[in-house]
Amino acid sequence: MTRIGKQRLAWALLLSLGWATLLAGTAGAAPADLGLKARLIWGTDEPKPEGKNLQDLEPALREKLRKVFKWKNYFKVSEHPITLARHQPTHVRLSHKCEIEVSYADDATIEVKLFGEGKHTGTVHKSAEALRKGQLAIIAGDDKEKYGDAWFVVISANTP
Amino acid sequence: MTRLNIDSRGRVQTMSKRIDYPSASDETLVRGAQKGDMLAFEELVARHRDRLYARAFSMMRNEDEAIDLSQEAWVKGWQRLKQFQGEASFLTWMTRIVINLCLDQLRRQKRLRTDSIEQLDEESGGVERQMPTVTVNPTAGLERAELRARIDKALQQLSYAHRTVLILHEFEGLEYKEVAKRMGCSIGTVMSRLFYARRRMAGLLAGLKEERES
Amino acid sequence: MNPETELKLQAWVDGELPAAEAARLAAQAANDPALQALARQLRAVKAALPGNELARSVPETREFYWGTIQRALERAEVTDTVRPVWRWRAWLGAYGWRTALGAALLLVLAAPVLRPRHPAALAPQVQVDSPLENVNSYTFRSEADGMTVMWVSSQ
Repeated sequence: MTRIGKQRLAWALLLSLGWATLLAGTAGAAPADLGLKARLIWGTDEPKPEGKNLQDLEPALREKLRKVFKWKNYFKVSEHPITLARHQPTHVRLSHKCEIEVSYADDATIEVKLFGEGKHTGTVHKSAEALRKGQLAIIAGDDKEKYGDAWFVVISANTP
Repeated sequence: MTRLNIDSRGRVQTMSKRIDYPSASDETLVRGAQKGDMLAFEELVARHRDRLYARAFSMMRNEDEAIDLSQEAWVKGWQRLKQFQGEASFLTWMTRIVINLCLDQLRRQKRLRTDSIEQLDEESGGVERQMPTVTVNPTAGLERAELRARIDKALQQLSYAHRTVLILHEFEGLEYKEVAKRMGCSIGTVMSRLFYARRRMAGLLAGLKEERES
Repeated sequence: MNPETELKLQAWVDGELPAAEAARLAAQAANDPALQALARQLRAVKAALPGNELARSVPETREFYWGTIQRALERAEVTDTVRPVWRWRAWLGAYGWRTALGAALLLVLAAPVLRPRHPAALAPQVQVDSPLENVNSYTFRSEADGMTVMWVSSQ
């Protein structure tokens, strides 16, 4: 083998070693599948309307929202379980106008993208660890159809 | 989204050292900031921060909220700087941003809604409508500093909804339809809120004048 | 005087009444002392306010106030910025494949240090704004309440 050939072989070995180390490193940090749930919630000061398919929110979450936001009542419009796998964004349709895409932004961060009427409206990031510990990621806004009311998309970890 | 120059350690770098920031015009500083010059933007913030804070304070009537919202407006301003074409002054453009943020905050906290008694007052004309129209100019003969203090005191006594209409129309010079668009209500609502707010201001200013004179 | 006339009078004072209607109202006001008095009062308030707002100063030092803005800007922008793919290409073009191998060696040596000890420690606190121009959004995070909230509203 010539001197140049030996040099190339040495570089190739070094490069392979580098890749192997990196792959081992990232494999070690790969996140496990994460169980989440997405809830579409309606916030209002008015009582629950008759004839609408709304459910009462669990008291703990209702109180949490009441503590931060002004509205007196919060009703659940829909709830969707999500099993989040790495490299695989999950799409969830929460209503006929509203859809979210949930994915891992990196090993430790969950990214939630909101699409309103097909348009990307906003993105929020939240540490996966914080979600596991019971924190919430929320995208919310004023209700366009009813002045004074609001909607909330609440992402939380599935509690066992 | 505006991009910054970031060095290898993730720190923000400035682009130009040649601008004499304190004596540069707003236009020069804006052009520099649009190219990513953070020092130029800092100078703009230093120059106009009081005005923006004052506008946020006038709407929120709370020091902490005014600081937070005015700072948030500066962040938004930087992020949207490319969209600023100079059709209005930089301060006007920034003021619009802080107003929108304040309106969002007020809406979110439902402070823009008039209370039911106020609503009735507004619709019926309330006490102000029953009272004879004050014929003497309630602000005549006042020193400017005193007039300002008195106006501020009177504004403090209005509801958020009425104060906001007055601020947008009288201080920001927006037309009825612009006020309606920003506040998310009809032109009719703007007109009746403005009428009620003005008459209440006249009453309050006259009352304050009487207090002073007695 | 009915409420409709009052609001019309105000619109007249504000210059928001169409010309024909303004002329009619001016003629009506000329013969009505009550209308004249109300117009005077509305004009007095209208004239008193502009330019007479109480001046206020930020109750924080320049450095402290700017520091908060700067930190927010850095948080919001850094992730969007540190993706200079073209720079790597230019760099590779200039220095060739040996540079890449050198970098690989560097990565091998640095890998144990670069690997996060605790993934959550590196979790970004960044918030991404709405990409739509007519949508205003802001994000706040409360450790005490255990939530990150992005509020979106159409302008």
